[in-house]
Amino acid sequence: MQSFLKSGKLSNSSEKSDPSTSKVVKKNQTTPWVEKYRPKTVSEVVEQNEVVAVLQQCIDGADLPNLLFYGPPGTGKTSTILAAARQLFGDMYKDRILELNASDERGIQVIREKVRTFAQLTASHIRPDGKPCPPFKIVILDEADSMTNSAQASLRRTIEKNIKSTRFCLICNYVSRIIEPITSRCTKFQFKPIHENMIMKRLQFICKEEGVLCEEDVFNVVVSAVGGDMRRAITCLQSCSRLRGKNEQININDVYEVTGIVPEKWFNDYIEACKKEPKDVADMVDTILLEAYPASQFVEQFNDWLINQENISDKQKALIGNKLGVVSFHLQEGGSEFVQLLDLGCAVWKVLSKKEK
Amino acid sequence: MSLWADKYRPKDLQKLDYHKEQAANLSKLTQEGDFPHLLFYGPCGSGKKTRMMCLLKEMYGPGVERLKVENMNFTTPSNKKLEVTTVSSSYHIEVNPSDVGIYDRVIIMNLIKNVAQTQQLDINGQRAFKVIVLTNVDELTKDAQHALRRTMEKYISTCRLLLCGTSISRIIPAIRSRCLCIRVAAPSIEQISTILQTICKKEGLTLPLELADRIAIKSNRNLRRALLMCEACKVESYPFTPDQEIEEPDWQIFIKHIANKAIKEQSISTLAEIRERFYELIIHGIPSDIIFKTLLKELLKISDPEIHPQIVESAAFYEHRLQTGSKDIFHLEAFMAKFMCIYSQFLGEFVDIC
Amino acid sequence: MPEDDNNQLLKRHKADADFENSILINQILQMRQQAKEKLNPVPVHSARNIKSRVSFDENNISYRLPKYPFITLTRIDGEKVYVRCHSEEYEKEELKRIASQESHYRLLGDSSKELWKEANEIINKMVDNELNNGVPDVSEENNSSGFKISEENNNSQLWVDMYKPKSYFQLLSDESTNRSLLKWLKMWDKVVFNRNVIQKVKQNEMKMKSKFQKQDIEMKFDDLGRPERKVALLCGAPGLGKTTLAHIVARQAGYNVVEVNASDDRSTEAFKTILKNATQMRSFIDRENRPNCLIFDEIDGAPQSSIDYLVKFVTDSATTKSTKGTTKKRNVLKRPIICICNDVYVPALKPLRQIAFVVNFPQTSTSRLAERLCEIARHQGIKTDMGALLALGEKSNNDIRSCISILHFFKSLSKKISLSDVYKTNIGQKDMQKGLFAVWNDIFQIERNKQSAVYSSDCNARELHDSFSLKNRMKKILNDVSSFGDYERLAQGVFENFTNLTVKDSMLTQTCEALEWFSLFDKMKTRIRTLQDYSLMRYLPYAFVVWHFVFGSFARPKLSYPNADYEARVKLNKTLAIVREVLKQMQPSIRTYTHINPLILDILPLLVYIIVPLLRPVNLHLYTQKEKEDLERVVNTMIDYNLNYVQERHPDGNYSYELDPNINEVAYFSISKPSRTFSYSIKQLISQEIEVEKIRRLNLASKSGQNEHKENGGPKKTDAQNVPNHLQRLKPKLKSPKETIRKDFFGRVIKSPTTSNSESNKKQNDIWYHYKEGYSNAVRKSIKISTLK
Repeated sequence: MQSFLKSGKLSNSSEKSDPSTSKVVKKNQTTPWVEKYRPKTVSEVVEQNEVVAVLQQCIDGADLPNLLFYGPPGTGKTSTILAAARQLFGDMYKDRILELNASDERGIQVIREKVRTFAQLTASHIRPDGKPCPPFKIVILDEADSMTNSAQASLRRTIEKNIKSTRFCLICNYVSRIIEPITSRCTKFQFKPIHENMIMKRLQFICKEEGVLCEEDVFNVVVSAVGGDMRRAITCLQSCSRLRGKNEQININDVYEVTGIVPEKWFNDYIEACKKEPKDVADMVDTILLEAYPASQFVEQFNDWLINQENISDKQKALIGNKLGVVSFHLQEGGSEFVQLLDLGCAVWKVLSKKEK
Repeated sequence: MSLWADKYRPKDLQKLDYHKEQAANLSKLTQEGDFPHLLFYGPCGSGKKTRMMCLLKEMYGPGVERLKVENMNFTTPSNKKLEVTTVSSSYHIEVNPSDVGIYDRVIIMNLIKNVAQTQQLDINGQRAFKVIVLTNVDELTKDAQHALRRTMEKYISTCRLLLCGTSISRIIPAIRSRCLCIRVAAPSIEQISTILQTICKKEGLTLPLELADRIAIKSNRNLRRALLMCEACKVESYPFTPDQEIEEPDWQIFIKHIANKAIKEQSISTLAEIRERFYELIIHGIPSDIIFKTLLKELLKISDPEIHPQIVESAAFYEHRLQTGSKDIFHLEAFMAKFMCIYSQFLGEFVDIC
Repeated sequence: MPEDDNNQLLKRHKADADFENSILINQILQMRQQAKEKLNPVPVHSARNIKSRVSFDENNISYRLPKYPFITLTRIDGEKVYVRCHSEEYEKEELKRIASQESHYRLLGDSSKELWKEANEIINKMVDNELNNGVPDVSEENNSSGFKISEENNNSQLWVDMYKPKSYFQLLSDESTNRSLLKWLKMWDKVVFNRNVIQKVKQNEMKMKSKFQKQDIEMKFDDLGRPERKVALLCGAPGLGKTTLAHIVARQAGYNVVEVNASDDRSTEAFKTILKNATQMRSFIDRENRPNCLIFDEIDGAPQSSIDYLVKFVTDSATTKSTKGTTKKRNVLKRPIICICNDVYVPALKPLRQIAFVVNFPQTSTSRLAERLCEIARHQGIKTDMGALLALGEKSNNDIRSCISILHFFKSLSKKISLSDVYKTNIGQKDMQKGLFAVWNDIFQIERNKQSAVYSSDCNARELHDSFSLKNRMKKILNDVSSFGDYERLAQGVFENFTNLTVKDSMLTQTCEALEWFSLFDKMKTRIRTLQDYSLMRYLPYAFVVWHFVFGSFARPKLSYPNADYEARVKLNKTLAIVREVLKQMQPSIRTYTHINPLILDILPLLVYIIVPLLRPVNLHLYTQKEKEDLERVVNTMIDYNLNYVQERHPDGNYSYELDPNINEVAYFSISKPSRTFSYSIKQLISQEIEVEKIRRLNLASKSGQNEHKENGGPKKTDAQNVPNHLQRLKPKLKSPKETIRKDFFGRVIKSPTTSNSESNKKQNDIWYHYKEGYSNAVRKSIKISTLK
């Protein structure tokens, strides 16, 4: 460890003899595209019309209520508040916001200390460059639903007490996990999953900017895989381009690889096996797992796939869906992938064989 | 390095025997002298680690092969002393945080902070970042994974993480989305068989095709096990014969015995005997989920197809309980009893029909 | 029961023969004191008083033949004591003298006369008693008189207070304990009382003390005349009478008791004030005529800082307060301090424990406790018998306080207390808990008789008859289990015992049900533990109800303590230790590719086959080329995985070579067919070869280290590719871990290469290996390592 920490550099002499190191000439610190293509203004935020309209009004009036954003990941919650802050405060927005998220220590003590000290700083209503700006600061509590209830409870008084100098913006996925007193103190905004077309447009824009070559239906696959999660879509695109290198086309298989999507072939095989014997199902499940496809992903996709199957009756779908729920839950809690997928398979087998009788 | 499994391990990305396209992609990845956080996942013995080391070698040259084993000490906030073994070269450090059980979060926080905060001033002589290899990430506690997620973003300028795990189902999406996930599927039977043949050729031995295939099948597409089995066969009797007996790990045979016992007689006394055997398996350090999985496979092999769905359903139920509980023996035995119950009922009906 | 008491006393006196002297004196002193106290709540003592007291003893009792008229008393141990007989005139004179002496500082002259009268009366009475019985039967007398008074005075008082021992002899606690504390306290006399006693008395006292000191030489004093251990620490279970003992002993020894207990403020500040006030002689001695004795009750609850302060104060108080300008000597701790605690092993008490005189309180003997209870019962007019009281004592774990409380409670019921009453009573809830086996028994056995209804106290008469009903069975199990509390151990016991029972369940459906509950139980338990979600706790006992219904039968179950789980855990740790041992010294280049699980699942089970190729048990020379290769492979593999054969001696005197670490234990199961093993000689051969190979590698590594240094990591890669297979194996040895460290050092530190060079050179030059080929010493030739390969 010590030598690892200290002598992580190649000694000069050996560097010359080392072919791979000499190849490297420059070090370009690539910023994630997610950061690079974050919306700069509120109006750039796609899809969330209601929120954008309200926020635009607020910004024009140079004031902000306490906010509570909720919605699935990758729908632009953090981006929106950051953009709003940027518009409100201009360049000095970094001094005016305090961002706390779940990975930071967020016990009651920390909330009290950090927020209090931050809130006590008075904000002037004039920017350094002389332009007027609103005299308050913003505390962003990301992933607020993972805060303990007691921490949330300690927050509610803090929100009220510092209303003069500070605005709070809570961001969470599930609004039901925020305690009532907090929700009632904030203006709630729901963020909806972003529409596929919007994601598609954005991806195409980024591709053009970055000079990435793509096969035609790559976008379709990406968009359908991410399910309205813009961040995932962009990350996925970047990963693909990294994996492929600069000048090669990205094809669908790359996308499958990167997102961990199970190709449709396996579902067909799986259902075929389910039509035969439980033993075949066991073999099939084994193969799927040896191919290293994650079971959780499989179950999720199987659900989508199943619904679109023509030759399975609605009743059968319902029965299988029932089992899917159980299996998904078990997997979530750490159940063995083999056993759970086999269970699903057997349930399918039972349903399908009944029909034949 | 005299075991075949160690001796013939590929050291370069170009020399990998299978998933060549992926290897080429990885090689491209290193061309820019930088790579994102990576997450290798795949079943046991599919060569995740081998690929990882090849990648590192591609990056840093042969220096990464100069490894040493060291122990690092950490102290938890509650003042408990932890010791983990690390394998490191001058360029990377490898650690298995799940060695310390529920304190893995401490290791992750401290280790990464340690590594990331000591930045070399002289940037010319090295990469701008260090590599931390974390193995068995799927066994990390949720706490540790959450800790990881923020650290990954925070220290991206000074360190890269290479994660390695058997399945990504147990890894939280936040980590998955921050890594470039690389799926390492197990080699196919044919691939294993070919590899066995080439290695035997290198050793100056002739391996019958048939035996190679049999070993490959028996190894359950686990290359490491296949190589070990092959070598064991060679030790057992050299000129190979196609129908030679292949040594299996003892624990597998043991589980087979348990399954047979359960089929033979269903009573509380059998249950008691089987309990002893479960204890023996646990004592030998066989992980409970592996016991469960193997046992289920064996039971399905020897029982009648009509009752399979029932067995599988109860297996799924108790396996889940096993994961959420702490006393494995309870759940193993509960499943066993359930199986016996189902089976004896089935036999009863069978007798009735006759 | 005077008889009993006398016997008791006799016994005690026998044991105390040496101590008797001072006891006797104290006793008389105390009797008087007590009598005085009764009439005058304000204690009045002075230096003069003490003087008179001591001189009174001096003049009235003696071991030698006195000059005054006397009565001879023969003690039980044969020693004679002479007690003075005063004439009536003397008595009067004495009284007058004392009255005149005291009246000048006391307003209540008359009452003091009366007091003296009464005191003397008591003394006379006592003397009479002594005459009558031949033994100083003071305590009995004292008891009754004490009780009488207390009864008259406080009818509404709690019995616990009422029957609190009022004098040393009434103490119930173990005699030797009492005595040792008293002894310790007496050691302070020199420092505490010397100062204010006039010369003559002091001498007298000194005489007494010297006598006393002779008796226990082990008591050491420091240079200021204080006992070496300045603090006494009393520890023991609650209700044994620690506080009472401390108070009585302190009073007996002539101190004024200052008690600090948990109800007082015990912050460090408060502590300081108390300590200062109580121990600085000046501040108190003028106001009250008795010196202070500090008693810290329940000190185990005091904050650490306070205890630290106390320790500091006791050990070096001399230096702390010298700032006042007074001499150091005056501020030294000169008062005894007694600390009382329940648990002496509380971490905070550790420093105190080291410097203190620790008195451990043993359990009060039940018979003595019962005697006392009997006395009280008789006194209060409760009808009872000894057996019941003994049982009561036992039931309460000899907690005097709770016994007396229970007795008080029975008194209000005003009926006879019988043995069964004691057992049935609900008082002392802690005693309702049953033993582990009793609970298991209840689960496995269905109670036949109706007595079971007794357990649920709220059962009414009708329900008594159908205690057999499911409802009552369930109630009973719930009650038993939840009062026991340790669900996990209970469940483990049920789990490990049910297979031994004769349960008729051919289809196993019932068993399935029960096992499902085990599984659920474990899930809940885990959830409670990991999430601290205690709301689930209340559902746990229901699992036991299910198990009772499934496994319960009328037959008497044979139960054994469940230890399979524990044993399994121990053995698992052993297995893991073996695997870790393998991992620990594995070659790093292999170590990086493997972990515990693959090692257990794949590598070790097959490795045990690989390392036993077919080798003939013949001399190494006779091996064929193939066999030599095999041997070499085995040796290398074993080194890679840190294995070796180690000679072990069996109990029967035979030697054998065993694998170390013994991976066979990990890889093989009980049903495994015995695989091929090597004979003794081959194992020996392999072991030797391994050692040789290890040395060779080390040698090579050090050489290559030099080479590498010279070439500075030259193009090794091409080398490796051209070299034939069997030499390729050597490559990792060149990069043995130690060398990489050194090399890194070489790169930067200039000094080190020379030193290590010389080191390795030395190694080459100085070490010669006598390599013995074959097994006999007859043929010998010297071989250098370099010629070996």
